[in-house]
Amino acid sequence: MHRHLLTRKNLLILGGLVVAMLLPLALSSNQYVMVLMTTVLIYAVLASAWNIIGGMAGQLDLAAAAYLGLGAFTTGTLLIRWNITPWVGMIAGGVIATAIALLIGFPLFGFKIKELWYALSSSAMVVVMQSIFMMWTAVGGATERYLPANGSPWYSLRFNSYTPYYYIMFVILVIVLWVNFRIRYSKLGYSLLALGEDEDAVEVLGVNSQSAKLKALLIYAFICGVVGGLYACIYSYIHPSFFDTNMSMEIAILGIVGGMGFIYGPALAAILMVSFREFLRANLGSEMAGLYLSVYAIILILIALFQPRGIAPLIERGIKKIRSYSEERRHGRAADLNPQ
Amino acid sequence: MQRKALQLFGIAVILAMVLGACAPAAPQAAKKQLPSEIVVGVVQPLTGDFAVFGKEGRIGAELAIQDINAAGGIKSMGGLKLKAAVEDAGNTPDTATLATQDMISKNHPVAILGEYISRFVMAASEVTDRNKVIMIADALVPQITQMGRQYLFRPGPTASDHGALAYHFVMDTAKANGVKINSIATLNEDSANGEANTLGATQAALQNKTTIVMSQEYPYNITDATQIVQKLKAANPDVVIHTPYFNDAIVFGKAFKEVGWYPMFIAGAGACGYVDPDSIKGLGDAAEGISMTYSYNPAKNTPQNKKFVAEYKAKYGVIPTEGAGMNYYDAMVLYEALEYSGTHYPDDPLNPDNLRASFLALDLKSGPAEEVYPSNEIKFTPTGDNQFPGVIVMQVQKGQPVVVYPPDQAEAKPIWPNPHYKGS
Amino acid sequence: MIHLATQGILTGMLMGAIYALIALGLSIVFGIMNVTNFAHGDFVMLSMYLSYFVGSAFAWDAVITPLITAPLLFIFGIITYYLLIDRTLRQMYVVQLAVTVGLQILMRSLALVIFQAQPRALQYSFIQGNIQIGGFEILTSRLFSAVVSLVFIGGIAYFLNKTWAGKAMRAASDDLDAASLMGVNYHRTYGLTFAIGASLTAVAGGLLMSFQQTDPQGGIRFGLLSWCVLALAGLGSVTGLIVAGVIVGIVESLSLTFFGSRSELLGVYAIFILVLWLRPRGLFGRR
Repeated sequence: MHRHLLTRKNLLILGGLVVAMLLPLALSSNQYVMVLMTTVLIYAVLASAWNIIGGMAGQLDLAAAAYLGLGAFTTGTLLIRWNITPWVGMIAGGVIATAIALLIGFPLFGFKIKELWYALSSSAMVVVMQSIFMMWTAVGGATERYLPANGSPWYSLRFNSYTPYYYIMFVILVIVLWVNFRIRYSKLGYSLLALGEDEDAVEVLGVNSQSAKLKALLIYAFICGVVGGLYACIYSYIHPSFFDTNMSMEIAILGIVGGMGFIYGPALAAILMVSFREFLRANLGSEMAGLYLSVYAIILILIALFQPRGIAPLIERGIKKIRSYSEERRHGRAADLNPQ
Repeated sequence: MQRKALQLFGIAVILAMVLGACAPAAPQAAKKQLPSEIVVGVVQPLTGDFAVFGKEGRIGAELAIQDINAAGGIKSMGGLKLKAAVEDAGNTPDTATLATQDMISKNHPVAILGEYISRFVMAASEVTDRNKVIMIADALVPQITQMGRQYLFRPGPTASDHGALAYHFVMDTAKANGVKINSIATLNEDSANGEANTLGATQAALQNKTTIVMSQEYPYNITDATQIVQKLKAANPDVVIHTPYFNDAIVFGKAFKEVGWYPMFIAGAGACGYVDPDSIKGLGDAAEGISMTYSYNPAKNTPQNKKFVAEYKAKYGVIPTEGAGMNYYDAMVLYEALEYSGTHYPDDPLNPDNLRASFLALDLKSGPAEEVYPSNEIKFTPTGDNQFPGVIVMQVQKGQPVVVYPPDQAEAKPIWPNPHYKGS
Repeated sequence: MIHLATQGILTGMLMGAIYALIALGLSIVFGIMNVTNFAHGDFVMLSMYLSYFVGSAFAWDAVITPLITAPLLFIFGIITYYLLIDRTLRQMYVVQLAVTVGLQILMRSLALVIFQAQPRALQYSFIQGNIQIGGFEILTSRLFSAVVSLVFIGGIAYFLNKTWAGKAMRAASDDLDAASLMGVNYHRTYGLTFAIGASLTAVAGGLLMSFQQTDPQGGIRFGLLSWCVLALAGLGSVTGLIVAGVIVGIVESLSLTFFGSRSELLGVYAIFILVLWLRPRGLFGRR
């Protein structure tokens, strides 16, 4: 690690943070951009959280929306029934999502369910959750429940503009990226990465793979639950359709397309792919229904086929090239100054 | 490490605040002169599970705007023309929100029509209310007007109106045929809309002390309905009141035919399921005699409605569907409100608050909107619902959807009982 | 009560046999090629659309439309294999997931563009109706479809286990590298397998079209369901599909009979998850 605070890399991060924080000021006159950026951030946070279980632990989880929905229903129900602020609700949602993840993850990893079978069982989880909340009419049911907007905006988390949501999501994203970073360079991170490579070999070395994977799953579920609470506030209702298999798949795909295991990869993919899809929807959506999704799907397939390791390695390579180029130039100049 | 990250973040926050303070305040736009044309937003689910309804709604709205312009635009504003801008609301609240906000930011519409699904209406009206844009919703779920939205209006009837009318239609028709109905069964797809329809029918049944022998909900994308029909057969109600979507109407129509059991009457409520031209085509003889409540009356004998039906038929070869009809009269209500606003608030007729006041002041007993609307009056309650909601009943007769109820609007007498009914 | 339950089991068994046929294509593709096709349900959707168009163009009964749609799906399968699947074989399995999910979105949205959103259904089929046996009702369309399913599943099982071509396919599945070293052109074998898998969905599509409708989102219903049947049956067990399909069908119909329609999915997927946990190799898995 560098000793100085203001290294070149940190300066870059600093610049990015400042720009991200200033963006709303420059763009708040255009609420659409704010909505779009907030939506992008939601996906960026979820995809970055997915990176912990998917990218690092190598478990292809397709249940993001299950945890998201649990968080949304917890937050919504607390607010509707007892007028408890979503700030508390979000945390409670995260805790409940974690508890359910523990309940599922314990046997799942205990029985060594992996790869495709893990993916399928997590996908089925979303359907099961949706059915349960459809049938559990005390909190769910087919008719959506609307969140009341009593009290101050900061108490019920209902604002007149999207700017506060943007900042809240942004702070969450920074935290989630930081958590990613911390895990990546901790003992847990190393065991997880090793697990992704060869599980049996790691077991021999004395790493408890079950507990490592479980930890990753719990952190991921907690983040999804918290985001779910915010999700309910942004859209002002809760409904079992939040348990959406397509959305869960999309989040996994963002993680894959971004570059499995690269800390910033999934967030980057979310920024690129979600804005790209929205750009297509806004500009092609009314022409011929469905055409824009076809274009989106083709791009997705092309990236997966020709850049199977994701976008992040591409960028990494680009940076390396620029660096070596500038280094070369520096050396070149030095050589020019000292003939012979 | 941890401290450093915190420090970094702290510096970023301070820098952002300092730089932000230097940013100039956004100039207040205050233009009162009228634009060269009035944009009307049409935001409908054109992809995903509800695409079929969104497409119909879009067609209705576009035809209405075309007719308004052909008739000389908004006369009280010097013949200003309307222009439709269309966006796809997709299949999730994110896309519905984005589409609505994009529509507002890009096109600055005076009003937005559509969204069809109640939860998309809720997500979208969160946006329209913030931006003070009128939203004219075509979702039937009663709750959407009960959430305190200021700029939301729904000219159409509610789903409970549909359910209640389905019940009363069956009872009246049975009585006219000298039959007493002892029991009914309700059947609905499990969405907010389906539940509200069944609730309307159930309440009407309870008030009239009709026994409900079975109530069944099912997901709208059900693959096989024969078992539910077998269950119905075992319960043996006189009448089934069914709220289908679209797909499931076909699945159930085929299941009744296959199991070979029919109640005395199958009365549909609340969506266009059985009597839609595409369903009739897919069901053939199995659709015969099934009725359906409709938020729009294609047989209403008025010049404006005839014109609309003729245009629709010329273009698509069938009579207008419910979604198209609703959006047609929704756009016409908007037209009336704009005319009113132009007359009463000539200084700033497109101001959202003036427009809202105009909507609330409307009391339409004639004119293009009323001529297409299934009741004889349109007047909004403070919450944005129509005080005089109109619903009619259509029945499939010889492969054609025909209006059969209420009697003063009917084209033909209802066929009773269901032609496949074999007696109990 | 007992009568209702028996009726439920009967109906569920017949439906289950059709589920087995729907999963058959997926099963041989996954069992032999180890390819995870998340777009399988959408292949069924495409088959149903083709059946609809063939059926309405020639005024054919839905049941015989596979005569034309199966070859079409075979060609579609070959194209899909060489354009997409072949390139993913040596990649991580997540790439396959991304590609086939992309294909799923593509097929759904193209179906919306080309076929429009309205649900399409063919009118009656000659196999519609019902027979009464001892107070129980059996729908002839389901009985017919179940019999066709059994014939096809039996035929495929025979082909894989008893014929030379089938054995070659399975050999290729056991070790891709060894097979290619020994001169087996696995591209061709795999392409053929994938295409056969696709054309099997055409048979299922034709049968389904005799009592159902289709729309662009129609594939969702069959995608996860097929995986569920496949997971229950276990890898490589073609005949196990029948038992698995029947279990799914019975669970579905009993939960419908006794707990209402939403519990259908709940029951099926709860069993799915439990089986994955307790018997990850499925009930009849060979690996």
